[in-house]
Amino acid sequence: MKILGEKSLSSKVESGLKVVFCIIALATVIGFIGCSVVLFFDYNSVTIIENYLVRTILLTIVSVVFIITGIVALFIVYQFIQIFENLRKSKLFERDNLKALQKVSNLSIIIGILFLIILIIVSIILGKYVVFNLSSRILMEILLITFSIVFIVFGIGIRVLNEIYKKAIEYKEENDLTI
Amino acid sequence: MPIVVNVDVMLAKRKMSSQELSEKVGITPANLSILKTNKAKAIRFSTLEKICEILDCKPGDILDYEKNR
Repeated sequence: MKILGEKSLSSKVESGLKVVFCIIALATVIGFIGCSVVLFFDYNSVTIIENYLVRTILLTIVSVVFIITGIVALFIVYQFIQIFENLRKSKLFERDNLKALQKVSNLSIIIGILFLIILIIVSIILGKYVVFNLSSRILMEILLITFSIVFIVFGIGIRVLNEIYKKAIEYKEENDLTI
Repeated sequence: MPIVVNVDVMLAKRKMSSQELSEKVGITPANLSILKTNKAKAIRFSTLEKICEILDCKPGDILDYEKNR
């Protein structure tokens, strides 16, 4: 199967990523609207937290995290779309790809750290005021830790690959300028 | 880079055009231009050999070393 060029794997992945981009954008907007509705219209049935202030803080954190994660994820997918567009055009060793990979690695580390901060807020600050069901709390913490580790490891992995890619571009340029 | 390529000086001495040299050496005019403008990062011995052969000179006549450049 062809990997590079028109009508190849990379062109299909590019169109797939465009669909993913739209889905993430839609999910971010829906999530934000959902959180705002719960926050402003004060639905007691949705949350079982008695304290109004704590509930408001919790919901605000959730909605802010939703928005930030959504926007950062959109940026990451956008960078990948650009990389695959270059691959479709058979532009392999481009400085643009290098910059895009650098951004992807930075953004995924940011998401990982964000989840870590949320984990700390949820487990220390909110744990004092909100009576969580123990098993659901553990589940939530494991989920947050997993997300955070996955994103940080992904970011570091991309960073290492980026260094290798940078070297490859340098060698390619040197080869091009050897007469 | 402190290494300077003086192909154009040699070309003027031999009264040869760049086009002619690139044709005789077997490199593209674009690559010869890279060489003349000092943008090249390396030169193959085979290319250097052919240039010396055609211009009838030594590598030292084409290549020079200038400190602090």
